[in-house]
Amino acid sequence: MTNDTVALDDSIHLTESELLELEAVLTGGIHLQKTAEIAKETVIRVENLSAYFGHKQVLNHLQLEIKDKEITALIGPSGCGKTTFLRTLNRMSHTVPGFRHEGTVNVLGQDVAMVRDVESFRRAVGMLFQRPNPFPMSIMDNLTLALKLFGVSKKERVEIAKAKLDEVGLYDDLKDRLHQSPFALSGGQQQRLCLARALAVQPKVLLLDEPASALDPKSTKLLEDLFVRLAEHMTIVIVTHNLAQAKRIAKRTAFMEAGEIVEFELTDKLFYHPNDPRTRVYVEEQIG
Amino acid sequence: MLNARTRSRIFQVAAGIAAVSPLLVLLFVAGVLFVDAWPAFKFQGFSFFTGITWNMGNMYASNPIVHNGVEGAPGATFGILPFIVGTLGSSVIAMLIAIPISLLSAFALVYKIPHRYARWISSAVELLAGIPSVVFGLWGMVVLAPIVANQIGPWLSHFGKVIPFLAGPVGSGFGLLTSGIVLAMMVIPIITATSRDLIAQVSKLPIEGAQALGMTTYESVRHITFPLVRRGVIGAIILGWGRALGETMAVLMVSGNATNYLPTNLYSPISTMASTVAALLDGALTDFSKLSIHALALIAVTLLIITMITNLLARLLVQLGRRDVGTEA
Repeated sequence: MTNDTVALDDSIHLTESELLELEAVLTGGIHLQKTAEIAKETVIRVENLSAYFGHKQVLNHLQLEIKDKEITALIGPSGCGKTTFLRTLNRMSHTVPGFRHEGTVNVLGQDVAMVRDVESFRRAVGMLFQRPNPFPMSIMDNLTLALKLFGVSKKERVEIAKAKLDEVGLYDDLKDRLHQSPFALSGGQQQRLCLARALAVQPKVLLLDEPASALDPKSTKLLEDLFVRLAEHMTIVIVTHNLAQAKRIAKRTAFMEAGEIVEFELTDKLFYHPNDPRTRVYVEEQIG
Repeated sequence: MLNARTRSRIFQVAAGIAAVSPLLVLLFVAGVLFVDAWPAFKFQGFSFFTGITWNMGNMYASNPIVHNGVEGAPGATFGILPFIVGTLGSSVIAMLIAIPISLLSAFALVYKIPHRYARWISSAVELLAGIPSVVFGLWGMVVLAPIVANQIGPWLSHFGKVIPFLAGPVGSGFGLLTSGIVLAMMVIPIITATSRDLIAQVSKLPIEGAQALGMTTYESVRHITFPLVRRGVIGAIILGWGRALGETMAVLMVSGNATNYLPTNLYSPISTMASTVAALLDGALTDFSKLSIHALALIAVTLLIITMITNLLARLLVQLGRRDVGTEA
């Protein structure tokens, strides 16, 4: 037995790092994602962001980089500005009269303040809301409406709709009632339908605004598993009040308080070895 | 002092009377009208609705003619087709103008105009709904009729080659188009205010969802809000339509008061049923045979029936157009 190889039997020799990786594969994809540290592209770059509603300042000099194919969680007390920050990333804050911001927010290489074609921009940055918000039309139409407006052919959009429904694990349950109202579905199913709807337009970034806060634990688990899987090929930012949820799914977590980012770290580090006393107090109080 | 039980009893009886009184009033009015109108229908028959000539006859003569067992003044004949056409024509024009303007303002007030301005505009709209019709009529006579005669009419008549109904002569400005515009002015605040309240009640959540998907404001309004408020909006339109059908004074002042004459183009003088009743009542009261009064009552009955039919038709349309999804949620 040499120093750098471990002999499992006579025929298989693995390096230590290979063994680690194997272990990671065996213990689940999430772990693999956390350990395999590859240099990732920055998808969202926020520099010196301050935001105001009228005269009231809600965000104060935020500084943040969000990497591709990762889940980033935003936590913090109510009213700390997490949702406003999230909604600034796809210009939903900008629809509120009186909103303005300073500093740069660069999403997918575009400065959100300079976006001319807001519709195309929002297509690339999908969003899931706190409460399920299906459209008042059939389940199928919910999924295909946006595609139809963007000029996708009928055959293609029905295919996409079914694929996305399958992706969120609803297709088998709903395949016989695609032309019925979505309002008869459970809250969890409605939220997954809304997720499928958001995915149908192929976004590169997904913004989640407390997506599971109105749902039961089982539906929450289903959604979390989905987010983890989706993060393999897209960037996800999630606002959550549920610290355990952030711990379960987020690679990095930002703790916000009073419009500021107090600390932005790898999730484990933030929860177990926070640098800032304010983070420690919040995390300890929440977990109890 | 009355005891609690007695007071409760009094309250119950009073509330019961109040609750059924609208129905009783409607039945009473309709009943009186039908009884009053009956001799005219007996005299004239169905030609009442298809005839073009309205002549109350020589009301000062003393030799009544008898037709179908009903006495009338010599020469009396009652045909109200021009009034029916005038009523429907002017209200259709009014609705064509009012519906798009009202719905666009309602959507703009809810979605586009900043709240502090929207409040002022909304108050203005409500104020507009309260302006007496005679004021609209006066505005129509003094301001609108000359504009129709000198600007709008000549311009629209260019399209006469394509749509013959738009061809000239444009006339004095008193007629179908002016009546339609004045009616539109009176109907717009009703439809706008009602639709605005409906639209404001629609949850913002699906609208946000649509915008986050990359839909424009128009697309989200068209596909999300509108289906949710469609039934209510049609109700608002019916309300406005009813007002246009029954409006009396303003139309009387700008319609040109045509009798015995069907409109030949958009600018022709007309009369509506309601304005005819108002205009001819004074003269009809001098009819020694009383038949003219019965004939005016029959016009009122006809108007009542037409209003009810259009109401039912509109409701039927809503029922037919209703999908199994959405509005019930």
